[in-house]
Formats: sequence, structure tokens, C-alpha cells
Amino acid sequence: MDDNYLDDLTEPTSNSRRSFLKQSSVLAAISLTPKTVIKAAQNGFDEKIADVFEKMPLSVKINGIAQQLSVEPRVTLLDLLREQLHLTGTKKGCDHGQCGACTVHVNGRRVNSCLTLAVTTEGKEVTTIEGLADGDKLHPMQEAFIEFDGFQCGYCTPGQIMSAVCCVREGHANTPDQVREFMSGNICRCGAYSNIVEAVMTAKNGGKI
Amino acid sequence: MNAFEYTRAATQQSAVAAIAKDNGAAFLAGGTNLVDLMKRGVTAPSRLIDINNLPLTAVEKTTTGIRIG
Repeated sequence: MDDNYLDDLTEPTSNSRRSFLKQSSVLAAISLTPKTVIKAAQNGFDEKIADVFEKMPLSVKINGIAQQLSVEPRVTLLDLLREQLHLTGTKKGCDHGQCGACTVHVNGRRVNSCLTLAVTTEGKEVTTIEGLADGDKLHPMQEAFIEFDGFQCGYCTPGQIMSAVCCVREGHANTPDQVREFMSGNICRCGAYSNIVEAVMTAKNGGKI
Repeated sequence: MNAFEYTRAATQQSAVAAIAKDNGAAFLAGGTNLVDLMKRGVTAPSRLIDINNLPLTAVEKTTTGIRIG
């Protein structure tokens, strides 16, 4: 794990001189551009030009740390976590809510962060895979995934683990079939499903989730 | 995704009033349908009214059917 991510959470991450120059040159260009062109650009250039447009303040707790952020309304929670906060444990699999690789907890409930607008998390608590372990001590679900080899390439795994923790807490992990049904939103191209189910059942029966 | 205005509704009444006066507005709840469609450019509301903080999370069975929200 990269310990530097804790620094990133308190410091702005962009190179301030570079971004100032970028923003000034864009602003200079915009001031010379007709209004209709700006409107078109606003909708077409997405992230780059959007950077100089309306950002909103966002107050959110992420893995126990209170954050004061500034985000554009259309930034998803997934992109906020990965791009702004450098918490890259949460993965972007499909970016359309179909694979579950982006699963995180918002106020204790599992959500697809790719379809969650970051601004809707105002005042809430977000937990990512990075926030599950207690320092060096792994969460029982993480230990179960290791013990039962619940992964191959590992790309779906953070989402699987986050989803599994909630699945157990929801009371939806009483039988293997129930686990399969209630975790059907997390897909695994490597096909580690049988081991995942075993890991989840064992963790649930251990009673510490 | 198109740029949009974002507002949070504080009450049910203000949410309904906001959507009534703006043709391009849409309610935003979980977003699992709306945000997906917006990402694909299928729909492009100019304003999103976030109703997540409103107490509309019940699904109740009534004598005549089911009441959602």
C-alpha cells in the first residue's frame, strides 16, 4: 500500500503553477470566444474545460478522514476517489454500473461509485477498500478471500470484498445460493466465483463481519 | 455527460416546486438509471434536483396496492 496517499488527502495534488497556467490560458481563450462556442465547448470538452467552470464545495468523510473538497457536479464518486484523492483501490471496470468493481460503502450501504455523483455524498461517510483494514490488521473478509483464494487477477476483488461485507451485514449471506443472488452485481471475468462464495460464507460464519 | 445545475431539495414541497417550474429538470435519487443514461448521452437534464435527503424511502403495502416513497 502506498503510504503517500495520506499526504494526498490533505494537500492539493495538482502542480499548482502548471494548473494556474493552464487555467489562465483557457480563461484568456474563453474571454475572446463567442458565447455560443463556449456553450458548445462546455458540453463537448468535458473534464478539461469543465475544470474552470462551476465547482461546488463538498464536505465528506472518507475512510474516517473528514475532507473539504471542491468538485464539479458531474464528477462521479469513483473518479473523485481515484483521480482526486488517489485512492486507487476502487476499480473502474465498466463505468456504467454493471460490473460492481467500483463498489464502496456510503453511510454503510454498498453502492456503485461509478453511478454515484460525488456531490450527493455531502455530509456522508464513505468507506473504500483502503478503509477496511485496521492499520496492518486485515479485515476478516479480506483474510477469508486470501485463505480461500477468492481472486485470480484481483481486479474485481476490492469491489467483491466491499460488496461481501455489506451482503453479510444485510443478513443476505445465510446460504451459498443467497450469497450468489445478493452478490450477483459483482462479476468476475476470471471466474473465481466458487472460491468467493466460500470465502464469504466462512467469513460470515466467523461472526466478526 | 452534459454540464448541469445541481440543487439539493430540502423539502418535498420545494422539490416539486422546482421541477414544476423547470422543463429541463430531473429528480436525482440513487442515480443508477439516470446517471447511466446521462453518461451515455441518452438524456441530458439541465438541472438535477437531489431528493436523497428527503424521507421518501418507504415501500408499503396498502389495501389497494403498494405505495412507494
